[in-house]
Order: sequence, then C-alpha cells, then structure tokens
Amino acid sequence: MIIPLMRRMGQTIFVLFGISALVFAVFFATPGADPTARIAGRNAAPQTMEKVRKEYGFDRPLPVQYAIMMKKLFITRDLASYANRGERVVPEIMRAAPVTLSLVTGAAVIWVVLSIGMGVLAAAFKGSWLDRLLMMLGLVGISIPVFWLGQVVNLITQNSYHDTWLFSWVPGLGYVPFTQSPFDWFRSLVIPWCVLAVMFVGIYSRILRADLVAIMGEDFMRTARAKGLSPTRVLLRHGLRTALITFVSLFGMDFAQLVGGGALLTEVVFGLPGVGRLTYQALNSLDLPLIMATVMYSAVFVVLANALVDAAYLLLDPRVRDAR
Amino acid sequence: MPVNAPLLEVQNLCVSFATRGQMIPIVENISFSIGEQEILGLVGESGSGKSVTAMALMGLIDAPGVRITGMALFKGQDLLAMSGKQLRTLRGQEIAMIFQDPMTAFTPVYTIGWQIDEQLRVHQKLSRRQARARTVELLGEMGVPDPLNTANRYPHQLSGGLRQRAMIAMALSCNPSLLIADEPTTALDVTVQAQILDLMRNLRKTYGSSVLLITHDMGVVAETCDKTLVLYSGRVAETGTTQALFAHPQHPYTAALLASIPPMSGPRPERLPAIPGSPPQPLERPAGCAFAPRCTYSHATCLPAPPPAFHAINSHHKVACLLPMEGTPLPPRFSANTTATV
Amino acid sequence: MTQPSDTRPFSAGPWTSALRSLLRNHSALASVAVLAFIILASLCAPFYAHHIAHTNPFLSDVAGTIMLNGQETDIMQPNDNPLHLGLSPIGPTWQATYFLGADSQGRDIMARLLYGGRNSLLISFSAAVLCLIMSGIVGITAGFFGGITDIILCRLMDIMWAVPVYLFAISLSIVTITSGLQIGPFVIEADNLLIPIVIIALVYVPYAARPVRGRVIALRQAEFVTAAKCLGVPRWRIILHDILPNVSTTLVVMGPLLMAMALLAESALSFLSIGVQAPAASWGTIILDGEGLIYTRPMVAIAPGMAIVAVVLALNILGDGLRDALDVRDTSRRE
Repeated sequence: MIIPLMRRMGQTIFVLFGISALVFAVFFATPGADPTARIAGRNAAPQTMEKVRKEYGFDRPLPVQYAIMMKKLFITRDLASYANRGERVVPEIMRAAPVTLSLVTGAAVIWVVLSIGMGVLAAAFKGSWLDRLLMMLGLVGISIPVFWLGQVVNLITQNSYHDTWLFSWVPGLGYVPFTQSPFDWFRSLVIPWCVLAVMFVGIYSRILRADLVAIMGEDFMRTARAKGLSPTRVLLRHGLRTALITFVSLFGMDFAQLVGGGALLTEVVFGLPGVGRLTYQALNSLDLPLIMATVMYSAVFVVLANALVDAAYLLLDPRVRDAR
Repeated sequence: MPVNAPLLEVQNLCVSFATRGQMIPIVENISFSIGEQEILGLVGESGSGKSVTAMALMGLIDAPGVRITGMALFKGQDLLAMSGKQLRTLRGQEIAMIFQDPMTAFTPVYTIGWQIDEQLRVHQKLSRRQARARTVELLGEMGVPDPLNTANRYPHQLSGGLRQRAMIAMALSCNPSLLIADEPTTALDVTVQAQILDLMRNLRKTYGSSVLLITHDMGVVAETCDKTLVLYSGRVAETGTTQALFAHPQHPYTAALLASIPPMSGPRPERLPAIPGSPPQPLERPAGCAFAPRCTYSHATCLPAPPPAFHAINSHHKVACLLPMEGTPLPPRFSANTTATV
Repeated sequence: MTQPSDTRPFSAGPWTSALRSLLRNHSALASVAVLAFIILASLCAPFYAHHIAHTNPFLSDVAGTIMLNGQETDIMQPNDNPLHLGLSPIGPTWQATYFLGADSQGRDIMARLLYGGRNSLLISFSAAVLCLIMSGIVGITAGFFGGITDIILCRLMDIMWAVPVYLFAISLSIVTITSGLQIGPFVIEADNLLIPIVIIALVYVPYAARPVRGRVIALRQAEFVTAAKCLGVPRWRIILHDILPNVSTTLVVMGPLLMAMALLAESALSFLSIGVQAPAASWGTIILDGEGLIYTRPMVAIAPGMAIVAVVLALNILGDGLRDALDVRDTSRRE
C-alpha cells in the first residue's frame, strides 16, 4: 500500500513540474513576440515595458525567467496584472474560487444522480425503446454547446416565459454568496447547475450503460443470479458497484477539470463571477498574467485532485490495492 | 412428491435461439433423471449443449428470442413453467450451481465471506453475525485453511483451488438438494482437480445433495459419476450407468471418446485415435443421425430423418444408434483390443 | 480426413462487411444525409450570398434598406418598447434577403450562417484529421517501441491531460491571437485559420493517442507481428503492413467523434472571440454576435446553435454506427 502511494506521489510531483514548464513555455517561450509586451498589455508605455522586463527577468535566460515566475505565482504570490491597474492576481483567483466550486458541486450532484439513474435504467431494459430513448437523449446532451444552451435557457427563463408560473421564480443573472442567503444562493444557481450538468449526464449515462452491459456478460453476474438474488440486487449491488470504479475515476477527473476552469463557458453565460469568468475577462483585456495564473492554478488543482482520485480508486477496487 | 420419484426429471428439453428470423436449435429433446444423492455426468464436446442445458434448468438464459420447451420436474414442480420469482427462491436454496472458471465467478469488489453471507441471508433469516459464522464453518468444511481470515479476503487474493472451494462452499451454503457443477475442474491444476472431485464425491454423504456434473473429460466422469449422459451436437447419444457405458459403449461416438483416453497400463499406443472432422453447426445438423458424417459405421439407414430413436439395451442403458437395433452392436470395450481403431 | 463441410459464403474483408452493416443502420444513414446536406449548403455560401440574398455578409450595413413586400424597410429598426429607444436589426423575413434577419451590424444572418459553416466545418474536419495523424504517430511510436520512448510520450500526455482542454486551447489561442506565430522565416498571421486548426488538433492528441497506443501494444504481442519479427521484416515494414492496417479501424471510428469534439471546441473558442477572427464568420462567432440580441432577435444565436447541434449529433451517431460496424471496443471520450 505504501509503495504504490509513494510512486504515485513521485509521479504527481513530476507532472506538476511538467505542467508548470508547459504553461510557462506556452505563455513566454512561444516564438513570435516579446513576452514583455504580452505582460505589459496593449500599447504600454516604454517605462512600463522596462519595469516589466526587469521584474520578470526577461533579459535573462529562460530557466531564470521560469524560476522568477514560479516564485511570483506560488511563493510571494505578488504577480500583478498590468492591464487591470496592478491588481494582485492570486487573491483575485482565491476570491472567485468559491463561486466556481458552488457551481460545479451542484452540477455534479445533478449529473451523478441523473446519469446513474439513466445508465442503470437503460442497461436494465437493454434493447427496449426506453434504452434507445435514454441513450438518444444522452447523445443530444453531448451534442449541445453549453454556452448556446445557456443562452437559450436564459431566453426562456429570463424573457419569453419569465412571466409564467413556471419560471417566475428565476432571479436575474448573477451570483448570491451562500453566506449572504442560502436560499437565494440556491435559486441563483439552479438553472446554471442544470445547464452545466446536461453534457455530463449524456457522457456519464452512456459510459455507465456501456460498462453495465459489458459487466452483465461477466461470469460473476451469472453467479449472482444463480445465487437466487433478485434482478435489482444483481444489477445494483454487483453490477453497478463494479461499474462505479470506472465511473468514479472519470468523475474525479471531470470534476477537477471543471473546478479548475472548465466551467468557464457556463460562468460567462450566466454571469457568475467564478474563476472561469475571471479568465474570460482577462481574455478580453488581454491580461496575460491573470490568464497564466488561472491556467497554472487550475492545472495544479487538477493534478492534485487526480492524485486524490487515485487514492479513492485504491479504496474502491481491491484489486488495485495489492497490484503495482 | 411420490416415493422413489427421481429428484429431477427432465423430459424432451429443447432450447432454441432466434437469429435473423431463424430458430437455431441448440438442444434437442434431452431427457434424463437424477435420483436422490446421485451424481449424473453430462459429457460432450464444447458446443454440444451441456452448459445450455444447465442454464435452461436454472432459468438463467435471458437472451432475447430464446425458446425453451419440454418439462423439468424438480420435486414434482416444473422448473420450466415456473415464474421468475418462484424460480429465484429455488435458485441458491434448492438448486445451486458452480461454474467453470473460479477466477471470474466471484464479484471482484467484495470479499469471499461477504458473497457467501449474501446468499445465506437472501434465503434464510440470519443475522450478519450468524451468517458469517456459518460461512466460516462452511469454508472450513470445504478444506479451506484458516477460514476465518480467508472469508475476509478478496477473490483475486486466493488461488484457483481455494476459490473453487469457496465457490462450492457458497453453493452448498443453503443445503441444496441439487448441485449443478458446470466444468468445475477444467480451469484447475490436475492435483487440485483431484481434490475438488473428491470433495464433490463426498457431498452426497455429508450434505445429501445430488449432483449434475457437466464435463468434457471422460476421466472425470469415470472417477465421479453414477450415471452418464453423452451429448453430441445437442442430442443425447447414449445414457446409462457409468459402469455399463464404459464397459460396453453402444454408440460409436462414446466408443470413440473412450478410445481417445490414453490407457493406464499396457503398451503406449503410437498415436491416440482421434475422431475425424468436427461437430456440425446447429443449423447444418444432419436430418438423420448427427454423428453419421464422422462415424466409421455409418450407412444408408443412418442418414434419413428422423434421428435414430432410443434403443434400450437394458433398463439402465439406452442408446440412440441403429447398430444394436440392426443386430450389429459394437463389441464390448474391455474384452476386445480392437477398440483403438475407430 | 473428411472434407470440411464449410458451405458458408466467402467472407468479405472487414471494410466491406463494415460498410454493409453501416448501410443497414438507418440512423447512421440519416446522419450521413444530414451532414451531406449541411456541407453542400455551406459550400454554396458564395452563390447564396451573391445570387439569392444579394448581400455582402462581411460588410456592415446599418443604414441600408431593403425592399420587403413592395415596401422599403430599414435594416435597423426602432425597438418595440414604448419609447422606441434604440435600434434592433431586422428580424427573419423568411424571404430571399435577410431570410433569418440581420445581426447588429446589419449583415444577413443566413448568408453568414453558410459562410460560418464553411469555416466551422473546415476547421473541425482539418483539426480532426490532423489530430488523428498526430495521435496515430504518437500512439504507434509509444506502443510499438515501448521502453523509454513510451514512458516519455506517456508522461507528456499525462501533463497535457492535466490541463483542462478548453483552458489549454485558450492559452494557446490567446498567445497566438495577440501576435500571430513566428517560426523562423514563417509567419502565421493571427487571423489564419491554421491557428485554431492546429490548436484544437493538438489539444485532443492525448485523448486520441491513448486508445491507439493500447491497440498497438495488444498488436505488438500478437503472433503475426512476432512472426514478422522472426522473419527479419524491418520495423518500418511491420508498422506499415501489420500495425497500421489494424490500427486504422480505431482511427476511423475516432474520426467522427473527434470532429464532433473539435467542432464544439472551435465554436467555444470563437464564442470567446479567440477562434475565427472578424470579419470572417464561424458558427461560434455568430452565436457571440447573437448574445447581445438574444432577447430581441433570438434567431441570430439560435440558428447557428441548431446547426452545431445537428452536425455534432450526426457525427456522434455516425461514430456510434462506425464503432458497431467495425466492432471496435468502446473508444468513447476517455480512455
């Protein structure tokens, strides 16, 4: 148990280093333009340019630049944005994180519940019209661009049908912190949760169904039936439990990626001031330090979360515990 | 249930699957019976319908478009006519099954003990603790060393032999009257195989169970079974007491199978005789005797439909072959040394 | 030995039999029809703009008028609110000109939709093909040579994998959009379509390379490859003649799925204004144009969205059909 964990940690550290190098390279070592100009923003004054060049060591070799950048990001955390009047970047990300976390957590609950329900139903009635209907719905869910779905939903709930009983409760776009009013927090997030969840419901229900159908052909499912268990118990306690191993590892990855900024489009469409929207605003003002910081932080988060998922995997799958 | 009636009596069992609008007969008109504490061997090549027969009796075939006809009286009740729910209470409780590959037959994410407990608790009103106590006891009886700890181990942590013992323990947990063993030893080493067969032979004494042993290994049958049923291409070729069948095989197929076992004594044959060709696909099964195309004795009367009817040699030996009826039975196996030339 | 009584017909090759079973799959056929229709319509964009709509979809025309039902009508019309404050572009006329109405710059949405489709489809198709080529190379190299090559490539994939796809694409886009790309003597302008194509292809390489690598590793241990090695067949020949044909089914099945993902990615990048650059259009940029008009002229955003959904859905169904036809084990989005 200890050795696999240690090895995993070594891998994690390696990947962390690799990612930081990759992101750094993307932002400051792509051929084409002077990185100073990228940091200083559009039409910066020569003095600013000079200051930036000194501060980030762009006149020194690349490894030194990399070291300075990492120090500014993770140790002194004083990376400042030039486009946005010297605002400190890292605290800004920290302020936005709870919004993203609220959005993604709620959506995750919806997508896990719905996709397990749909996947299990479809697998149980394999080949029936219900199976085909559910899987078609899933496919449609996968095929809708989330930012467009968000707009259409906004059109319906905020405008066209806002005055009907069905959607009159929907508040205007924006976010209410949980600490301010849990009820309003919930109300402001319900629609974004559902919209964000749509695609993942599609992906997960289809994956779960495929896994379950494959598992139903396994010997141990036949054993379970031969034991005289009810079909429901066979499907849930033996089939679903085994299929959940893959499900959970996928879930961990997607959850981490969403919290790390993958929910950007949803946040933009619904005006939720999370990490993704921060990135979006930075995009519009070409605020490269901010973008780089969000990407770096999210990547680090994803890597750490993946390591956690692997630990959960150890708990879920006894086979992995001993192997490796 | 009438006295002396067999525990299980199967009559004219037919199983066919629908594929592209065609019904493919996998198993045709199989009849046999198993008495109390009897071991019946069901022998045949792969694809001969052995496993399908067992699965049909257990109600475990759920492929769309399957048609199962015939009758299977178990303690006077027809298994094939039962509702799923009725059958479920029998499964695991009255009729238990063990499978070929113990590697894959346990759910990988639960401990062995948990899985045996589960079966106990589904059929009997037991507390968690009582169930576990019984589980440990069962594992011990099956010769599992350190049953207390073994119960807490996961399937992948056990060797094949131990897993098969655990499988048998699970099957026997509710004292079933009938145990269906589908190639229980095929995936095991020879030494472990012998131990497991030993265990199965003793079951009828200790648990009073009858066994339907499915195998393709004539050696296993000879060692274990009271009665033997030889299947060829979904039809019964020959059935009788193991002793009679091995001493006087009446069907050329049985004779050929027996001839392909290397002799334990005497000079070693240069080559073991093999049966030429391969069994027909279900759809290409001949109208007459299914074995005719591969049979050295086949002649004109073997070919037309229907397949040869059963000919009773005596009260406990029947064969589906025209030879004995036509007055030219095969020579007894052990009195002649020409058996090697099939 | 008796004659084998094998009367089964001569069995067709995998591609022929796959094609045959695909032809029996009605939903796959329907999706091919939908794709063909949308592709054809997009190809006709210039014809539509010049000869049917008589507009230039790249020029803003806020002061213009059109003849509608014999009346001269402003393209930008006063709003419906009581005070008639502000202007909204004309809504769908359901006629040749401004069939779906105009955007906030008075440009014909239908014409832009067709032009946008050209870009969106071109980018997603090229990105999918490029991605398949790259992941084919990476997957085969890693899987076939194994050892240190495999380890390095896999770690590299792990690293790319850890950055959320869209963030990775955004990072690459923002850097190239600001100043274009200069590699030695080659300069790629910021508005070159090559930029989104390469970025999207690159971002999905880890997703597509893994299944390829897995397949190659399985093949490497297959007997016919061992046999070829024993015969002294050079490696490149084994790769070309034994590995590649067997991996190609995996690649072909992934093709439509990758193109679907690429189309979604392209529209997202364009929606964030770091994909296709104005005045060129793509379905994503039209949705962005429609964002501000969503309550007054919803058709501007809805139409390109529907087009995306139709194409992505058709591609996904086609991918499913191909997978069933070629009998490739699930190559769904992850692993």
